[in-house]
Amino acid sequence: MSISQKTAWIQLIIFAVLIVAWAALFAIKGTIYYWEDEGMKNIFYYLSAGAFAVLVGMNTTVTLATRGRTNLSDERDRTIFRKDSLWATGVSYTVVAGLMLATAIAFMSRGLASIPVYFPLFIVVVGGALLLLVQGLVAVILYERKVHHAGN
Amino acid sequence: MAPMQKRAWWGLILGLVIAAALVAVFVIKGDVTRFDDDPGFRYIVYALWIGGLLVHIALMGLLRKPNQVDERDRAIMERASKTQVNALIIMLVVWSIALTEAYWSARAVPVVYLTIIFISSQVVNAVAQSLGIIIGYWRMERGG
Repeated sequence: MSISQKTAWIQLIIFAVLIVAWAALFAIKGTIYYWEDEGMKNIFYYLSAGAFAVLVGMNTTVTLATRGRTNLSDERDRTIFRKDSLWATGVSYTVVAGLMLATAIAFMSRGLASIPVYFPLFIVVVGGALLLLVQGLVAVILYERKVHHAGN
Repeated sequence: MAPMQKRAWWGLILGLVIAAALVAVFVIKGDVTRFDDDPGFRYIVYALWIGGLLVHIALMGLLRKPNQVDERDRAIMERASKTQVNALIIMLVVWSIALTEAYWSARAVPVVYLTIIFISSQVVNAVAQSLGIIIGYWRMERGG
């Protein structure tokens, strides 16, 4: 397993755990409006910050551990990176745009002219987590496919 | 100049003109919340947005003849997608921070901003694609 493949797996696990933890938090509290409860707000921020910090830590560790080494990635890694980035951007942009429009429609249909100040940040954080989750997921799938093809 | 490069320049000019026109419309109208109440305001914005988008799609996609695009153009377009991704991420982060800071004391953001963010994301996406292609050709011509 190459370093890129390992980091893709770790990235997938980090953001899958984050999204499951968010879903559990929202289900337990019965709302996605995390800002309405100080405790829930702190948990939401700690979970999000923790996931992004672990990702930064992993990437920094990999960069430091592989410093000076060449040929760590080949053409296959670069192709997979291009494809997973495109998928991740497409999916996360679609979700962010969909969330924004759905929120706008939901609030306007209830006659509300404004949304809570936390909403834009919430949508962007969800979009960011989804981008990294999809990137990891697509990379893992593409690596598995390539391995199977190579095996055949 | 390669046909793709020429179209990217036209795309960039068009994108910047549309962006400037949209900003001008919002500045002239003075208050974003009038977007909800003023149909004329909305129709101007929709016309600029959809018109610009259609022209951009025609410029970058539909009018492209298959034999005008070679391996080099495809590589440049692939790299341009990185510029698009970065521009979109930066734009969303800037919007979320700016709105949070601007409306923190009121604790509420006018809902119309969600539509504005959506429209601006498409304008930024189109401009960044053209810019990415232009940068790609520029780097290639410098031997990159």
